[in-house]
Amino acid sequence: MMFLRKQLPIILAFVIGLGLWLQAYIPHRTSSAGLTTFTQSWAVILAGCALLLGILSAVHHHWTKIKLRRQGFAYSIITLGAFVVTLVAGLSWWNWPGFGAAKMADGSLFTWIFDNVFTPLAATMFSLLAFFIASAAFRAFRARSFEATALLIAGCIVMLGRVPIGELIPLGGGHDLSDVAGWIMNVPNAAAQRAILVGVILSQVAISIRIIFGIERTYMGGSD
Amino acid sequence: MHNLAKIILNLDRRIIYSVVMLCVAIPLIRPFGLPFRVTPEVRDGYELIESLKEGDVIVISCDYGPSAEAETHPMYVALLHQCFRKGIRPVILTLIPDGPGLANRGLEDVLAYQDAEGQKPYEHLESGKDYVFLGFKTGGQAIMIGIGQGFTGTFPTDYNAQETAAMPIFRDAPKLADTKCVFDIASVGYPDFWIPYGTERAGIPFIVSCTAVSAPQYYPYYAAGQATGLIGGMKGAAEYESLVDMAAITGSDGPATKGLDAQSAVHVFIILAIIIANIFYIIDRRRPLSGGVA
Amino acid sequence: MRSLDLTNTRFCLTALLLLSLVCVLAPHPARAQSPSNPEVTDHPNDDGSAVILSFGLAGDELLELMPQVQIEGVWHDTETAPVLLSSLDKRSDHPEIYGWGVTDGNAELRPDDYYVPISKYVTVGEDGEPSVVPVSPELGEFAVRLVVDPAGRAESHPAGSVQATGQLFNRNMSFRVLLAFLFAGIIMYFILAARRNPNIFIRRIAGLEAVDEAIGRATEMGKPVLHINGLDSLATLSTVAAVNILGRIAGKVATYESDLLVPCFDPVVMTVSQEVVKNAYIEAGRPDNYREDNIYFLTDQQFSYTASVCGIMLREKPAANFLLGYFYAESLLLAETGNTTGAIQIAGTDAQAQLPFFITTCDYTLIGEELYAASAYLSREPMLLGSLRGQDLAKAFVMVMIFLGTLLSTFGSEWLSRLWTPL
Repeated sequence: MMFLRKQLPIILAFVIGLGLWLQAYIPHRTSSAGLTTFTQSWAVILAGCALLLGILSAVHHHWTKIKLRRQGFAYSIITLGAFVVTLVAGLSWWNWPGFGAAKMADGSLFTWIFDNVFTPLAATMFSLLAFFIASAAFRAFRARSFEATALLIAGCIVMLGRVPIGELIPLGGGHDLSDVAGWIMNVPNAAAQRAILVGVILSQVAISIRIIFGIERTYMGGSD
Repeated sequence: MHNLAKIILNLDRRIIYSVVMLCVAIPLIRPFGLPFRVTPEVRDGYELIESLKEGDVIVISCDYGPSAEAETHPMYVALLHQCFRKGIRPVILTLIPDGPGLANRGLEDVLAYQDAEGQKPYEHLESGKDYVFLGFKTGGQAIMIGIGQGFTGTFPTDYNAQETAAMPIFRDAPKLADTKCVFDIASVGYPDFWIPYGTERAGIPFIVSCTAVSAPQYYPYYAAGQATGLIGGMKGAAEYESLVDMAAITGSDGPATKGLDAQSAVHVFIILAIIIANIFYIIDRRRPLSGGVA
Repeated sequence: MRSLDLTNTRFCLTALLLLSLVCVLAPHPARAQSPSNPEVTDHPNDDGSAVILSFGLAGDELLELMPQVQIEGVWHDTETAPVLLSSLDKRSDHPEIYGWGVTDGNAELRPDDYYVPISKYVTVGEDGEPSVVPVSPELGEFAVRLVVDPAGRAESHPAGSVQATGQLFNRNMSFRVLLAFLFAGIIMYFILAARRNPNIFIRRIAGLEAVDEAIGRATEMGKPVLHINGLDSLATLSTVAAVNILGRIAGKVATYESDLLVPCFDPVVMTVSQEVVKNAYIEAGRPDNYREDNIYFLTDQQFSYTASVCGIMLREKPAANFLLGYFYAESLLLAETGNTTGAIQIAGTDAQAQLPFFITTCDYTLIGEELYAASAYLSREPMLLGSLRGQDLAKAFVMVMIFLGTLLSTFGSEWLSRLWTPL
């Protein structure tokens, strides 16, 4: 049991990690065929099992909440109700009244739910960003120090320069605010992004080495 | 003044939300029609597609869901118009589970498009020959590596359950290296993976179209030449629409172009809000100091 | 399998196909020269899907001659199939095949500057339909010849024979392999060195110093601690880093006897999180306080998940929110909602685009690599700290290379830049 829980995952991480790393340098088709078969097959198997696991967990969580009448259990009733309706709509092989197709085909109840319930709800959540950005900018964008002021000015230039109105603000010499915004994005922004990227990639190399050699094991559920 | 500063700085969020709502709604109802210019990063992407010959195959990866539809979907529609008009054949796929619905809808809309004379210019196009929609398959990076080896092995059937092995499009372009570029329209982080796992391995150009929020992180790729074009957010999509001349194709501005006025208005409001907040912040900060409070 | 079809139909291959390439000038047959020294070789560093035909022609002659050129693959001297040309390229445009030559940039083209990659040819199947077949190692050895037809007189130029083969090592990646060994070597050295000398200095990271304060505050207020592992699967390394930190946070939460909520975006992350938290509670000596129900799967839809977590923040009012891992556009929605509830918020991500949102709305933000350092920082495990030191040295090496590369490029030498250019 200990072997299955501790040693085997480390051995698997070592062999597969090293194998995938070496594969990147071997152009021979056996190499990429092996990788493709391996990763694709396992990706599909794992995704399928994980989905089942996820559904069971979600249903169990909401069911327990309803059963114990915990705070906000009404939301759980709505969640489970929506889950059942969508599941039945996607699996039903007959045409629901008013719909010209079954299962997940175009014109089915399922696609109607996707287009008219899921899509607007998701778009609504995303569009809340505009409101939240405005509120966060109002509250937190303060000229507290030289750096904060520089950030604030650069932010305002980019905000104006990335929309048509920025092109109506001339700066002389045939340039306008959008040119400055473009320069900020292409030069200081790209430089800063690269610096962060280099640090992140090296950290990823380090964490990969720690995982491959079994030094970092917290992700296995155990301590070091 | 100090009290006013306090009130302003602690302004109820709902007031700010209401003004944002007005800034979005008014320009949508009554557009100002502000002119805009095409940026080099968008033009580079457009010109790469324009430089392709009739019959060339490209990959369009629709990695966006309904939430980012407003920013990304207009780009997809404009790109399909450009491809079909030039006879470029797109292989469309999606790497996220909520992608197929929108990708298929966009494709069907463009195929069924009717011009001013009532003609359907793309009606004759055949799936599997002039375009193909492969749908979604889980795996992300594994799919990119897989299509590098062969499309038909990774996607044995297309979205409509047709076998891909017999499709003429894959006889001409059996694997990623035989296509002319990958155009990733993404609201998720797949552009980061397309470069090392897809386009660099295949030795083909890469164009990224993404939400405005994520555009800054792709500038290093554009600057390094790893991404030939970078189309960021609604503004980028509007620029692309103007290059494709969607107004001439459909008789009115594209959806991204229509949304730009609202975006301008909100940006101006946010900047005004920042300026006002900072003025009152300075007033608020000075008063206690002058009062000698330690 | 295309290659099997080829075996069946090889004896039927007779059709010819000409693909005109570069034809912008009117032909002048009198000036056009025959291609000299045609040579066919295997495409280096590939999977065996192409061969290369190179030949000598001056640039202007080539433009005149190309419409009259056909390239044929010949098997057993009798079976012939026309090669489908995709492009005619300058050698200097393809350093991955010919290396970085002196003819790049604006240098004048030399007669042997051109080559044609051959990766497809045309066959006629038993049904009489032509089809395109990719070149592959299964094809065996075949001869290639150019057939030039100026003024109606066909002229054949044999280019030799070749078999397409796949290589076992991509020599263009030699420098990358060297770098990988170098970085891995540096990091491994410092990990091992840390065993001998565990006293390694690590700079103070404010966000991580505040972890105890945040959990302590939650305990005092009798409110739960909320931890989000980002919105990616365990295949993303920042999620692994977030789960590692969860283990440390769970240990502290267990010690303080507070509550920990972990709504998950990915079912696999949920399972691993359950194990990690359970183990942390056992190690803290509070196994009875562990509640598996508190670590659950919500949904794998981005904004459904966001709405759900925002709901949890508003209903449960956690006193401390940890937003660690990879985030997308939902970052601001989560952090701003957390801000309205008055929770202490500690965020950490390597998604550069989301950093400004976290910095604006959270009390502390771990930027990029700090997220990866957090596990080592919180545990003070010498071997993990050693890897951080190795990372720093590797970063210093990259910085020196960037500086030198910029300097050399400024003075006209591209040697170092090319060494780092991915081919």
